[in-house]
Amino acid sequence: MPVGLEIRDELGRVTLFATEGVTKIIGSFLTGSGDGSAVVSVPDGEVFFVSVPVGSHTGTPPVVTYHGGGSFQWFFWGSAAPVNHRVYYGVISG
Amino acid sequence: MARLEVCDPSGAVILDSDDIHLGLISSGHLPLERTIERMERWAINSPTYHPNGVFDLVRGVSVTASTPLVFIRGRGVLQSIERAGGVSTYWYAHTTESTRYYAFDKMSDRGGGAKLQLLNASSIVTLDSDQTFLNIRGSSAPPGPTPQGYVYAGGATWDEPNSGHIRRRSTFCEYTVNVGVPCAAALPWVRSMFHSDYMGNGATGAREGCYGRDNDIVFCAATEAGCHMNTVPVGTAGIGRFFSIPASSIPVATYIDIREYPFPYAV
Repeated sequence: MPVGLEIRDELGRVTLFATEGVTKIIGSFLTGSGDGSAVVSVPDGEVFFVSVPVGSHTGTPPVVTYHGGGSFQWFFWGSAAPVNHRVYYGVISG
Repeated sequence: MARLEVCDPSGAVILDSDDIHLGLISSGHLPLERTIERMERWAINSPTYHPNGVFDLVRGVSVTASTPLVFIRGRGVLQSIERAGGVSTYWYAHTTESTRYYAFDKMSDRGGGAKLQLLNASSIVTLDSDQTFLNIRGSSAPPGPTPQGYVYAGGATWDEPNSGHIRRRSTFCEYTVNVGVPCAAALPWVRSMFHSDYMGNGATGAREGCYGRDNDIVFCAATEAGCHMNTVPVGTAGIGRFFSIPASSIPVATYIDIREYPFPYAV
């Protein structure tokens, strides 16, 4: 028998059925407007991230890369003004 | 501090009210369209670019989301993300009318009927069972480029007509990874590069993308919509090949199983 959490709506339809870890965001950091790096604590599991501009996106976004072990780097490559981004990171499952 | 944790028999956490989960906010075919004209230098070292009468069609979707994450299924190469206020618009080139998107955002209180809602210590909704939660099925990275001008070792290149002169055709390099589920895919960042034209000269801007197809992820580099074309020697890349390809770091794609999400869908 699977172990986890099952949720149904008022009509009895399953809306959530989780028997293993699901994708979740566990933290975030800001890039600022200059090249940089950050080391964050991440649990076991494959890491994913989403980079979102702070305010409107009218310039150069950072290229953010993940190098394992909670280590991120970013740099700006473009002629327009760099735009501060918030990077949300999480794990695919686990 | 009060919280909810769901664990399996080994103690591994399945759900935790402190973690922020993402949910589907919309899915469908790309509803927006616009064209962008390419620009061209008429002579080497000319400081001026001129419109050359070649137009690229781009399709897009706007989503109102604080933390948007968009996956696509069917060919498409992300060109830009515009953001104004809380609205982000994703523009893709080389799409078809059947290209699909699946957009996600951090879960939030969107009303509705009977459901389970989890909040963290700051009273922010972290899970809402009314929303189909994002479940990324896996990730994959393509191989690096080759000196022969392939963006992906083992990939295939070809060109497609656009309009007018042969120099203005669009050039592609694709690499396919079988993931075993019908999927949609996304890249967290992309590379820019150049490709030569089919007259053996010229440097044309190109961008990288990624999409799901059948049971595959497809990595795709292709002519940039509204690209700038330069009349310069292409070096050793060869006709219809790519060059100046960043290789020190390669983006990793993530993918979802589309069978887990309603289509089309809107909150």
